[in-house]
Amino acid sequence: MAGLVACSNGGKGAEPSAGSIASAGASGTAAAEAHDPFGKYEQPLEVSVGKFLNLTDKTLPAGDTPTNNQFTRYLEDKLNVKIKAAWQAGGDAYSQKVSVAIASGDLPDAMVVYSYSDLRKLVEANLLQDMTDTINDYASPLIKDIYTAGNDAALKAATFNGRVMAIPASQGLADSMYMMWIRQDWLDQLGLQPPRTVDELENVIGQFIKTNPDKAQNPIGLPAGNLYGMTNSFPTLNPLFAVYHSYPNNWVRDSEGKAASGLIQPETKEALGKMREMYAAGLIDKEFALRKDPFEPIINGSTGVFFGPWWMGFTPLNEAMNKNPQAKWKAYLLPLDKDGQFNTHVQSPANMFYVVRKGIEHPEAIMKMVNVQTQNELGLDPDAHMDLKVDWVNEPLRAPIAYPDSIEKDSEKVHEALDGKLPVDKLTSVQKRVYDNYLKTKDNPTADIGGWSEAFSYVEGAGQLLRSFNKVPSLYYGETETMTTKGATLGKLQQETINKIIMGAAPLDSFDQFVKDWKRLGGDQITAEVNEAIK
Amino acid sequence: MRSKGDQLSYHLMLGPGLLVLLLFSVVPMFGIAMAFEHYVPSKGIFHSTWVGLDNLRYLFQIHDGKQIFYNTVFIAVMKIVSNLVVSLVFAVLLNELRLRFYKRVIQTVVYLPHFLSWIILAGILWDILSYRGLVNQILGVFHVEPIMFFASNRWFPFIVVASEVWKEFGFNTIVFLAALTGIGPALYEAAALDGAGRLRRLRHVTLPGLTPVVILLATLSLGNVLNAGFDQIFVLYNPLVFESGDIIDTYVYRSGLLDAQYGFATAVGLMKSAVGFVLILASYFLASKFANYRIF
Repeated sequence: MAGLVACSNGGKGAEPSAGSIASAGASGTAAAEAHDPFGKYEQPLEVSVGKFLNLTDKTLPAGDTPTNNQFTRYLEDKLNVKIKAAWQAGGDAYSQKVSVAIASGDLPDAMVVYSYSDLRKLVEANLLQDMTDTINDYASPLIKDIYTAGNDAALKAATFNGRVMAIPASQGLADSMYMMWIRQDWLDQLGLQPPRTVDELENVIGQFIKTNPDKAQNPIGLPAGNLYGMTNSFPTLNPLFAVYHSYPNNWVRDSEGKAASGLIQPETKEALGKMREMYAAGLIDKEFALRKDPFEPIINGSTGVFFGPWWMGFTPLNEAMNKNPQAKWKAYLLPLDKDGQFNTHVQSPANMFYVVRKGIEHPEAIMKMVNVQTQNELGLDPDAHMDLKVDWVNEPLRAPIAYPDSIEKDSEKVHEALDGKLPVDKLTSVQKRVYDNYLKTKDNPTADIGGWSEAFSYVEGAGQLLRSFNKVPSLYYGETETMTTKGATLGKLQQETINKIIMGAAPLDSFDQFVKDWKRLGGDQITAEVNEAIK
Repeated sequence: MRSKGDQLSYHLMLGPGLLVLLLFSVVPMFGIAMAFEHYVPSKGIFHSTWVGLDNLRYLFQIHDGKQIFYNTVFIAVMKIVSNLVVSLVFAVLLNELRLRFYKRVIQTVVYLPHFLSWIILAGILWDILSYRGLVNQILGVFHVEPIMFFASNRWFPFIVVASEVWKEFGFNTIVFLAALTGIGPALYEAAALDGAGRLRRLRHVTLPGLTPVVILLATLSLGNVLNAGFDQIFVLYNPLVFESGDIIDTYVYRSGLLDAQYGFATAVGLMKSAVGFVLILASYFLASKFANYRIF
């Protein structure tokens, strides 16, 4: 207890830098003993959680439940912490439960929020425990190291008025890097090279549609379920925007050196001009804005090229392979800009947060749970004996804390093992599984499509990310006051305008009017707030 | 007869109804305060920041504001008019059928879509009108370029109106058929004796007999001018046709429930109520003047 007081007095009171965390960890053995990140409670401690469910999960063995399974038993064994679900929900119902919890002020001891805006609402409503000191004192060295590896972006995202108000998760950045997925067998059949420029891409799509190698009923151009999603929504046209150095989701430096929305830059107009041409020529799916299921044309062979992140093996290519096991999908970091470089935006590592109810007696219990879970997830506890087939979503609270480049790291090790440069017994449990599955399924994907999904994604998709290319981070990832109040109106305006421009229903120059409207209707205010926030 | 005890029991019977009205219609009205606040649920109505007319001002500032009111009125008026005309004509025609069996069958068949939910009908419409749907395939035979009905702001409002009429005209037809049976057969016989043929009987007996019902239905539906049909539009629209198809209710749903702009959404809803109130007063005035319809 004394150590805790000393720490909070000794802290600088501002947001914790990597330095202050490290020094807290290293200060005096007495303090270290008092703050054991893995210390087991003598009396059983009950923690109520808002439990997120994967409603389609079928991996739990008979008799186990989302609140009583290998992960909860492991936690009980390690910390003497018993989990009680205050409520359980999956999918949209979960976010509704969170909204209700925020609105009513009735929070479980801990839950995970899956968006920054939920975190912001909770902090505004003054419902959250200040976790600054708890993280300082109780976060395991592993977690501190992961935060540091991400330049403390995660901690900063959870910081309000100098206090860290949640335990931030920290994801790999790979999910936000979009690449080109293409049917290599179609390219070979037509004697084409992978398209390196937009012109070549247009040619390839044109040939694909003309020859229609899979004899699809309605061959289409590039599918685009979402034109420029930040992360994990696909198929998008992100790489096409990036060819013109347009990053609509990012905050970029304008000509005066101030932060400005990437959406309203002249580069975006240039990119839209090209897409408009491509749409008119049928090289972008004519129905891109109407399609209810954008994966369908990929699965049924109507298109042989689309843009998505590294994990396409999990969805939709697993289904596409089931349908046509002869297909050869390949990933490329293409097309390139005029300097021959591949560009992509990258997301914030922190989009999810473990939040703790204000006034909880043992806030450090939640931190310890996160310590134990993270160590287990990264395969670093040799005594854990987890059945890897069970979905991690069954952990009491699930938001991954991983190194920003964890996907690339795993892929790199697997590649080294496949090339014989690394002994297989040096692989972590996750990497070993990918390695085994790759060998098992590379010639016969449909023999074990589940295993293929993961192996193909890591080896083929994440393998591309090991090359060198230009990653463009945003200057700001948070949400300002005016974004909350006016973001929806602006979003609608941009969606309408940009769809119309691409579909030829409005002239390209209507973009200029859009920029004016966007600024007038709140964009200028948002820009000022962002500049204030990053000062 | 007018002893006080009598009245008391009547008033007591009124009690539960009034209580329900009070609880569900009067008390929630205080929520209107949200329209003038930056409302945060956890802070409640009394502690959220008061922003005065900011929400309403923003509504008038953005283009959406005018658009959703225009769309709502346009779609609703078209629906009211077409529903009346189509079902009136249909009822009159059906009434002229001699075979009662056919009349019954047809009446039932056109009444059927009324019982289907919009989710199902939207699926059917989608198959018929999509880019490679039935209509476009037929147009293709005549070498007409396929039309994206659900992406076209020119077509969308008319698809909404036409599908609504398809779904609901059977129901209104029944109302008119009921009114038709109310016209005394003696009038027809007298007209026939005076040498009136079928068409003249239609013009001079049937239509004048239906006029009060038509006027009544039309004026009463004025109160619905701001209800353009949330569930229908919600399942049919997409961002491409927000311009022509987004109505007040869908807008309130998106800004209030999806984007959590409770204050702003309440302000939009309040505007709708204010305009709706004026329209209901007007329709009551018209109904009492032309159709002798009175509440008090």
